[in-house]
Amino acid sequence: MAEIKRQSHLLVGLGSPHGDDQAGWLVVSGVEQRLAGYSKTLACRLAKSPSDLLDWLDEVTHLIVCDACESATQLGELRFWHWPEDRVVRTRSSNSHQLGLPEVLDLATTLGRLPAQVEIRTIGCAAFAPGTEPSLPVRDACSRLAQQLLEDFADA
Amino acid sequence: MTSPQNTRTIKVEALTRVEGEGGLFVRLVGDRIEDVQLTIFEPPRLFEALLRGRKLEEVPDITARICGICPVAYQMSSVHALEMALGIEITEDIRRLRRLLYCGEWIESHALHVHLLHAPDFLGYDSGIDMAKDFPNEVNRGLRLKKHGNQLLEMLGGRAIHPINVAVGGFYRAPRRDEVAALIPDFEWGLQAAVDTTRWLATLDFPDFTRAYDMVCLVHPDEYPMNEGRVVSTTGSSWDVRDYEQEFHEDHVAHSTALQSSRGERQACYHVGPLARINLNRDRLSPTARRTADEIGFETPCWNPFRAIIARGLELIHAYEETLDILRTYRPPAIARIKYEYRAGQGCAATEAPRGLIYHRYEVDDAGLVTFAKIVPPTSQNQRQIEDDLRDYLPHILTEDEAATARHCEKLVRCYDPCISCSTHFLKLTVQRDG
Repeated sequence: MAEIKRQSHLLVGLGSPHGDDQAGWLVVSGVEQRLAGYSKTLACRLAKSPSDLLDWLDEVTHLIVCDACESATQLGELRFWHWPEDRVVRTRSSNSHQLGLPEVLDLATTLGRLPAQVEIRTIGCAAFAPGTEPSLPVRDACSRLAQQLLEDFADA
Repeated sequence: MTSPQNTRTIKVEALTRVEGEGGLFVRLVGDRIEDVQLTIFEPPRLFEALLRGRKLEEVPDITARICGICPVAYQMSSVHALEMALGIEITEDIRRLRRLLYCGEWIESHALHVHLLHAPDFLGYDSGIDMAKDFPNEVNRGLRLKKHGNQLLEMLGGRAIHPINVAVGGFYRAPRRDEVAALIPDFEWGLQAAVDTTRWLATLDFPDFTRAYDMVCLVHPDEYPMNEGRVVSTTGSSWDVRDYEQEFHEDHVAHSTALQSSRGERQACYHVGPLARINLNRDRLSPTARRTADEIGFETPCWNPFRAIIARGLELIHAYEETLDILRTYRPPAIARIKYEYRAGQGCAATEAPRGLIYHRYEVDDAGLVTFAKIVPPTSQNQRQIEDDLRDYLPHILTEDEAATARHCEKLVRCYDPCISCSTHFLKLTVQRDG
């Protein structure tokens, strides 16, 4: 993983090894493979828990989080949110011992560590069974999003 | 007959900052408390039935799934019980690695609880996020300490949540010396941070509320209890773990999908957790934890449940100090896992989860299949005690401001750091007033 530099962009894939939940990881891995060594200001990270973000925010000015999104989207649908202008719908976490993405971003704001620009890119997903591969529409959508991000960061 | 106009109902629809989903119902006639129920409505998870017919090697991985915050407690209790059934004696090296893994779980669980779940109650905030505005250093420290616990679990357990490296007989893989040594600088920082945490916790303002508790935990002659020991009560009684079920019983109550534990013929409630451990094991805390307890004037036995947050701080220090000791002297064990032959048998074990005593018993057949499983988590054991505490505490805090009453109730419930998902295996308080 690239070292994070001052004035840098941080691209984080949130996910797990379970089915479509790998979407965030697939996007970021796709970007990293093709950008490796070319970008000095973009760092890529894979996270299992949103709270991992809190370890990586220092000196980051632009944060992009890619994550699977289950509700209110179609399979493979790509959506783009600006935080905090577009409030992400909060659902109660299935694990109250972990902070969800909105809580982590709120906490980063409170602690004065939220980057100036925060984007959330979501991929519409449906199946999260343990040990399964991501579905084809999700894989295709991840490739499309990785390509979009590469174009966005072509000059980064 | 009581008049419906005099019925008062206070509801906490959703108790936050606990793990799992449940509610609290209080019924009052005038100012007399008629009924207190910790209502747990999270669906039963039926792990004991799920284990029947499974290979015994699957048990530590399946039971780890009972909880995301204390999977090690389930793994440790299950492997010790199965090892008893199979007649396996583990080596001292494996034993130390198991304590190291348990230290990781205590660190992540206690660090999260004291900084982000319970401290906001004492400082007047609705959440750890709100508290972070005025206490950024404390919140950042809590997050960093929790991460250390996760790092230890990842290194030794294969991953931070639901570890996969614990085996009957030991570990599937012992860590390399360089992996272990790499953690030392973080844990040296963490030990001092844990001391700072405990000094800070000691400055909180605690309600003046004490009770004559029957506190129960493991006691081991040589060490602060984690993986083994006798079951001991502050009343002076003690039991071999094999006699646990003769003294401690579980009953179903209509308002809870979790079984409630009680003790003895009187079916009395009892209290498990860090306060019980400190009260019965203060002399076996690590040197820095003992010194800090003396420095902050933490007197034992302590019968104020709100001070359990300080007990957690002291255990945090202990866990860091023991971790450092193991990390600094670590040599990879010659044998990471003891081989065994299947045989029909039965075994049980009790260990100390972050939130208290946990008991497992298994029966296996000569093909290595589980034929019976019994799992008693700490929150099941504390449920009746929590209801009893609330019955005693409510008269001190009851006002017409029902939201304030509910907040006080939640604060008391959180002293137990309940893990409701484990006990079925969030809280809704209903107070109904008659008269």
